[in-house]
Amino acid sequence: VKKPEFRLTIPALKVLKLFVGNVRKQRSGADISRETGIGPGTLYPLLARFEQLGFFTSEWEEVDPATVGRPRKRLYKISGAGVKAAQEALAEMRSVSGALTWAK
Amino acid sequence: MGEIIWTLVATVTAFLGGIAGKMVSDEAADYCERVTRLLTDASVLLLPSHARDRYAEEWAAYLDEHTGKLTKLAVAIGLYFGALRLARTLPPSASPAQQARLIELAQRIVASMNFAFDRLAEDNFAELAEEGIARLGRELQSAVPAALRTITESAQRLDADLCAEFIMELEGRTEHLAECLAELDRIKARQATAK
Repeated sequence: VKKPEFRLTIPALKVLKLFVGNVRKQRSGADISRETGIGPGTLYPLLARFEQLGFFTSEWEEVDPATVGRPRKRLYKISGAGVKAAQEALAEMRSVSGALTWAK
Repeated sequence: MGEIIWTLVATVTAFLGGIAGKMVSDEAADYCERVTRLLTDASVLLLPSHARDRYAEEWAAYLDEHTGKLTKLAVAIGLYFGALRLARTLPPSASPAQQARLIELAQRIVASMNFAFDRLAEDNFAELAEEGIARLGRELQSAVPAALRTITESAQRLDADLCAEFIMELEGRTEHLAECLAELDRIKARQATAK
């Protein structure tokens, strides 16, 4: 199975940083969008790529839509591989910004 | 007198204007809702078939977390552009040929099981407790078509990669089952010779 490549973009960093802040917390797409300011047009392709890469897992919220009167949310959680990738990406980001500061 | 008439005309005009404004805003709100729904449906249709049910529900929940018809419309526009990109990110759906192969393999497994259970039930095979085996055979024979229906339904929702994995696994299991059935026949033949 061919895995998609991981491109380090600002939205990707924002999402990874959010999840690394609390690795146990599950968040819906709307939660992530609210907390990062990333719109759905960028967010959902990004989440799908993270799931394909094994960085995130997702599952349906355990509620009955008829009882709660709304559709079930899909909840995302970062995996061990995701935490590792996030830490590497954030370290790389810090070294790049450090190098830029030094260049000034 | 003239002032009273003008005041009256202005009041009536303002009243009618208010009604017209309300009608226009209600119409616009309905229009917003319809466009939001259409856009969301269109976004889901852009995706490969195996991913549609999931995102239809996920995006309905996403929209539900936003209030205001205009906000929902803006979100639906965002989702549409997201769906265009997501359609390129997600793996393609299983091809009709892959789906057919998967179903064929599942049918072969079911047929092998039915064959084996028929033998066990009818021949009182290996002197096993015949009632128990016969009952197990009947139960499984009625359960297997339901399982097969599930596989047929699921085949349409699989992406190409996952379908290929299932085909590989079922091919292995079909081979193994064929070996088991051949062994069954050999034992039966030995028993017949012994008698």
